[in-house]
Amino acid sequence: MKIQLQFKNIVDDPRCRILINDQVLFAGITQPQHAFDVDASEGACRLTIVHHDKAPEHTIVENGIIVRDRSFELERCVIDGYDLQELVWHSQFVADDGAVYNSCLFFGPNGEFQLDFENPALRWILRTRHEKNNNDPYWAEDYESYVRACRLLNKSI
Amino acid sequence: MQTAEQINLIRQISWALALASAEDRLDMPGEFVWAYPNDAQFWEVRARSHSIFSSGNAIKDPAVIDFVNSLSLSEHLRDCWIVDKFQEAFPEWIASGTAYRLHNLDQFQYVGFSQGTQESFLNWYMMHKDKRLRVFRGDYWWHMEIWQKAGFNWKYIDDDIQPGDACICSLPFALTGQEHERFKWLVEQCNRQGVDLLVDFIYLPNSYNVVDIDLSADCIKEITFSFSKTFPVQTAKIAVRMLKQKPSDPMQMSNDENICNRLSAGLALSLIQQFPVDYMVYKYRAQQQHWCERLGLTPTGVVHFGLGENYTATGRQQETNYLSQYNEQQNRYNLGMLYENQNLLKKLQLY
Repeated sequence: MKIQLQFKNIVDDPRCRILINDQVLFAGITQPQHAFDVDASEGACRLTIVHHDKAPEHTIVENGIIVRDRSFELERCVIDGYDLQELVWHSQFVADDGAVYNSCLFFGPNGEFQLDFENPALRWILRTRHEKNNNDPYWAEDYESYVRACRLLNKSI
Repeated sequence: MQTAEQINLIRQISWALALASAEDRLDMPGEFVWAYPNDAQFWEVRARSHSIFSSGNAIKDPAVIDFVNSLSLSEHLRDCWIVDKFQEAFPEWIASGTAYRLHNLDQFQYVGFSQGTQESFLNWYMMHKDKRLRVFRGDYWWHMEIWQKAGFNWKYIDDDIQPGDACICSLPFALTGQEHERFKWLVEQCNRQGVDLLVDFIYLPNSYNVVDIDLSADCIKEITFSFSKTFPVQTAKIAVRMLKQKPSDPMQMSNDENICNRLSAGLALSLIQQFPVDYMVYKYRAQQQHWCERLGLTPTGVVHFGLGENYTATGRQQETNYLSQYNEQQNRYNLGMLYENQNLLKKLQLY
């Protein structure tokens, strides 16, 4: 499985760890782009992005206003070439203090972003979109047709 | 009636050829932008899979393509007689077809090169602008789309022909590849009511055992022929119109000015000198039989068509009609892509 992550508004070298299930893919200073080739089995997967090592001094407050804050934002998540687009919002951020923020792509406090999906991602994307929008009743058979065509032509899905 | 297995095979072939289009792995690549998915991802391939059997375009025959590639066409630009040469040669060539019969073709003395049949149609519409334009449902969608856009008075032929109508009908009929079941009735009605009829022989060269017509009927004023459905030269827009009376319209004015497209006319002349009119029929009829049996389709009298269940019925909910609401030909399978990509399909064990 190929994963590409794109971050923006990266302030003051925030530290992160990126994991698929329990497999650590990256640990260090958050970069604008990360790309991974992951050996993942079929079925349920969790993408976790942990923001850590942020200390109180990384937040500068003047006159009661935060003027600088170590932080970053997840801008884009692409799995096996498919941009998750709106599905990336079907995630949550669990702060170290226990607070849970749904649909939060902003990494302010220490804590972890969690996105649950399935491998193969395409099947999960199609099914999830149809479940949410009820606009693609033929997704399953078209997915199967696509997979068969890929196999016939020896192309990875 | 197609079996579930045959419908499944049609789907497999559609998806495999769509993916092969995206991956540039076809034996014979397409020639239109819609034939090229932007990438090999699911949505692009899915969109392309719906159009594998669409359009009425010609079979991309390798021998014709090689021949066209061998020509030096630019020399025709300075040959002021090239269009006349083609116009003189065309009637004999079209009359030489062995799989159809055109009686009294010689009554159509006025032969004009047309920049695709669309140019002839536009001139027909213009010269019948005060009439009510009529076609059978299922005929070439472009007529209705233009009439609607341009505000022409028009109506499907669901009832009798009236004085003041002007009719167009394809033969073989565009939707079915056969003669329209009411074609003879239409000719009789037009004759009785003094109504002009244009017979569009769009698929004639690729047809067999469909057309046997007496063109002396008074109502038949104009007949049109296209190379776009015969040879893989669609984008050269080569067509011919023939009339009993000399026309006086914009197209004729341009032709009289000697400003026809000489590249296309030169190409057309070379093609008819090289290939018999029924070349595709005899070359591909066995292929048509094979694929119709394999996919459970009914062969039509046009060698690159078969009829079956709507190939967009599954997996497509909107925009099922390409380009126009009037384009309703999803039961007509253009088998050309299967003929052209035999080697690939054999390799994939889909033949």
